[in-house]
Amino acid sequence: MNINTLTIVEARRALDAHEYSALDLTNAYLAEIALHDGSIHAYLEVWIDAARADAVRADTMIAAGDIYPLTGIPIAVKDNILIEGHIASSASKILEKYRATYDATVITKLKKQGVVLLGRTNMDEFALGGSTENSAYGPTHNPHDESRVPGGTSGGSAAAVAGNLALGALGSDTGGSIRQPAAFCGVVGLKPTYGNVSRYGLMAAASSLDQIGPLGKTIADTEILYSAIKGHDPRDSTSLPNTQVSTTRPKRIGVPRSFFGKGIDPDVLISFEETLKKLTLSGYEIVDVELPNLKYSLAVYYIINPAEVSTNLARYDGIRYGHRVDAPTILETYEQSRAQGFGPETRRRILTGTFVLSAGYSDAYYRKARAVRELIRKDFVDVFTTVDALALPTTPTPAFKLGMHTADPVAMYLEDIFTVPVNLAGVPAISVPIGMVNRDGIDLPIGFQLIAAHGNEHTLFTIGTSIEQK
Amino acid sequence: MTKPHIDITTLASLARLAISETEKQKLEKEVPNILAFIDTIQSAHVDHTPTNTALRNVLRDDVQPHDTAMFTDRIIAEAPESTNNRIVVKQVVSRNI
Repeated sequence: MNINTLTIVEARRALDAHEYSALDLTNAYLAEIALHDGSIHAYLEVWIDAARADAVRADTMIAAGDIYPLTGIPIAVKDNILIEGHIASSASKILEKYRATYDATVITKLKKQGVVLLGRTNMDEFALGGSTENSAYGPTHNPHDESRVPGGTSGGSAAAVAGNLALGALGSDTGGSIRQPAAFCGVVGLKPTYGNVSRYGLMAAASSLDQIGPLGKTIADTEILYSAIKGHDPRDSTSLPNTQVSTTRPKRIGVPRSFFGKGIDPDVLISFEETLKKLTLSGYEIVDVELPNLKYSLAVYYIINPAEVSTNLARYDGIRYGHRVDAPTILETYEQSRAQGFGPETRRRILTGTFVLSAGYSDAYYRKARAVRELIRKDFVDVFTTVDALALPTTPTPAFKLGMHTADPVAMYLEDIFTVPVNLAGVPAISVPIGMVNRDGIDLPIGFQLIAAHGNEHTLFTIGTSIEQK
Repeated sequence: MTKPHIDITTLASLARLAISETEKQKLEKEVPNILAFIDTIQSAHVDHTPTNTALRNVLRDDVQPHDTAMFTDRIIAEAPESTNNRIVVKQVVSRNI
């Protein structure tokens, strides 16, 4: 087996043909992690014994012919998704010793297929950031250039797949947290339609935006992971009923060019345009489209996100679980436990959120943002009556250097410009690698983002496959 | 709108967050920068906000979701301090207000 080119599809074939066992495969990944994760730091914890036990169980299933697409496939899971008995910390000090008391629904589904869980991956604390530098346990490094960030917040998951430290991974995407690291690391990352994958057992950051999704080396691998985790879940009240999806072949792709602005890297733009040309040659029609309210997306996002984060993170008070500072009164216990437990960006978001929700300002900020969000959502609904998909670069630039944006929170927020509109509208989107740009003698991957109408993940996989085959 | 006054100490107290003097000074610069960044929203026109008709309340059936005490041991084990199957909490109501 060549771990550098191995895919889930190929591993499935080899496992079923008994060319190697699930235990051989898992051991190969554990060896790779031991060798390379010291410098990449994709994982916060590797479950060596539990992973081998999963693999032995998978081998029994394979021998009995009880085989699913992911039986024996070693994957990594973001640190904000609960797996019973394992620590889940959201890369925060406040949950450093927190052990999950139940399985997230996505984990229950993967366990039924006999998947191998290798470990939990690094992330920005509570999924707040864009570089994985906000982890309380140190940053993850981009496998293509270790002086650069892997993106975030699912940076550990993207780096694990790109660095051949897992065959696939789960992440979560609140404003681009799967697609942006996928683009920076050169892998495929999918943010499903809001409600298509259960979030039961995902630690909430911004509940109206959060979505669990898969990262894989190829479109086919990503689709296999997505198929395994999707579906209605009565335990998640925002989960959508299972409906018949459209399988008509997409033809028209819209490009909102007026939204690109000046901050986009010229090399990224050249690759983007080349990919559009190739899609034309594959028979797609490329048209310019306008989404007039897209320009408000970042402002709307950075009001709604902190507002929901400040509310959701109120549960971490040092009383029922997590880090507690012993102080004279209960109020000081809250204040000091939270001050010690949360990192700087988390504290900043909580305070910004508290401000935009406070009496006297909530009308001008939070309520206004909710109203403008509806306009943005309607722009998407309208545009999908004329085109099957939208194309945008995933990020304005390739992966930036570690430390480049840490002193300026607003500069870090600007990195999310092309990804946040998708979460505001709740539509699905995918980032597909489209080649490399050279920086300081090193090739860095860039991503092409495709967005489809609610429930049309199928469209993303179809066009994504056309890009892969170019 | 007029530039809002940002009182970091009050916000921190509302958010139940202790902050040091150094951090307070840093945040007094950062939070207004963030607010300036999101202020573009004020130029958006929302006279006729479309309503999202897909939104509705979802409630689970009013039945027992799982057996009583099924998770108690696991949950109590996560508490920073517990005694006799109870989570220990500091005194909530005080006589000296």
